[in-house]
Amino acid sequence: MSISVPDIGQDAPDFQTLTSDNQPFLLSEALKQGHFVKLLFYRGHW
Amino acid sequence: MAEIQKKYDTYLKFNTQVFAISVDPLKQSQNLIEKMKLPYKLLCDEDKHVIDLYHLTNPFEHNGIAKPATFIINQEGKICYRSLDGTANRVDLSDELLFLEKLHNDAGYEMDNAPKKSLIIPTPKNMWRMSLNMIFKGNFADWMHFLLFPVEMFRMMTSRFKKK
Repeated sequence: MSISVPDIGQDAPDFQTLTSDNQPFLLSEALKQGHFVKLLFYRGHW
Repeated sequence: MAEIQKKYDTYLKFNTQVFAISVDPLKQSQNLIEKMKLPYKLLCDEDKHVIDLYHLTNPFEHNGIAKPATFIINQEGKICYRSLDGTANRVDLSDELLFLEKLHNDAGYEMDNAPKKSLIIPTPKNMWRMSLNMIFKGNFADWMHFLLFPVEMFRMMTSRFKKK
């Protein structure tokens, strides 16, 4: 698994998706606000 | 996720925005936010393109869900912290916050060693929930992870040994 998952020092792949309040979210836009971003992938509740 | 909620002020103090992402649909994520009163945003990756992009798709459960993982990304878009977690083990949040403190003082700081993980011991309440999921939803995944507990433990011990 760890071979292809983006690693430390690499650029985080940019993506666009929706927030739970139905607003568009673009990672690069979030980073432009000058914060660090913690991205937590979780299994979900199905 | 509840642990992050408790420490959310510390994330803000270290200039960090938290986003949690899963393949859950909008409605389900909204329900989770309301139920847990989460102060951070949930992202919905229903079509699984983000978990595919990050190579974090677990195809063996529920037609593909995210493998648990954490990334901390600096303002230049570089990954400076990564933790690939299991269901039965994870990184202690205090180690992550310690890392964030260092990152806050030096934006170019990168994690130099894989973070230490601790095993998650299921509480009786969790065991009850997992059993109900297995009986009523046919979800064997949670129990399977905990039955593989000795394998996880062996893997953790050997990875520490290899580092030395």
